[in-house]
Amino acid sequence: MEMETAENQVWKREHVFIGQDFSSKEDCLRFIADKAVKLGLCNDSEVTYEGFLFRESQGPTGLEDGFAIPHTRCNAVVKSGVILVKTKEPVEWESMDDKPVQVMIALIVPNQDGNNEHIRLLASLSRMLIKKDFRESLKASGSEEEIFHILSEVMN
Amino acid sequence: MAQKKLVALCACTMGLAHTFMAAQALEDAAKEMGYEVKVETQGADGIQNELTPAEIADADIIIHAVAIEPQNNERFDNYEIYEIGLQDAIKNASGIIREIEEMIASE
Repeated sequence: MEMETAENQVWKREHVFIGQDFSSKEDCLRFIADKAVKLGLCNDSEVTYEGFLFRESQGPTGLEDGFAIPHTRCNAVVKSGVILVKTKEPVEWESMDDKPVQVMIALIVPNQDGNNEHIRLLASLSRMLIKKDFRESLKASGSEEEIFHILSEVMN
Repeated sequence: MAQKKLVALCACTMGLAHTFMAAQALEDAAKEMGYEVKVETQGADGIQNELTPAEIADADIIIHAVAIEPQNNERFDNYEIYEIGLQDAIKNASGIIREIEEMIASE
């Protein structure tokens, strides 16, 4: 099997953003789309944003306990990645328990990703989000470094 | 008495997140309730953990948590399938399995 190079990793320290404030879900998704371009995951912020919105229109991405998993597979995506945002205040977001969201974990995948290894890393992250302990540890942390490590354990 | 068997198939529209969350939730709940469990996922990484005809024939409970028409659906012809929403599986897998058990018991 091919070695995962740093260039190729779906999850990096600089993919964590703590302490932002957003007045709406749309604001937050726009922020994530901008960061996705800056991080080299996407080549067009507007198309990425529209990609998130399209998925949102298909059904809520909010989970329980203040978590959401916005995601997109659109033409603007150059390589797969995960971006985590933890906001200062909860943001209105359609969710499974009708509560606002404070931890957004965005899954970003190219339209045609032949790399099943990447999809599998995202799948194992999704599976972990079912576990209450895992969610609690993310909720409790106020450190980007720590959050990076918590997710690294799942996606390595 | 032989261990009860539960099989399930999960598939969501993009195959990135809800498929796998529902699969994990059903696996955890079924195990907790004493089932031998196998959950097939049809996600962006293709079909994983594919259910064989024998496993389907052998199952006490067959669940579909799908938002799309699954591939190779003909495997399930002539069996009783319990269709549930992905969200319900994620939110309340054990409650749903219990409901299905009650439905079967009252048949």
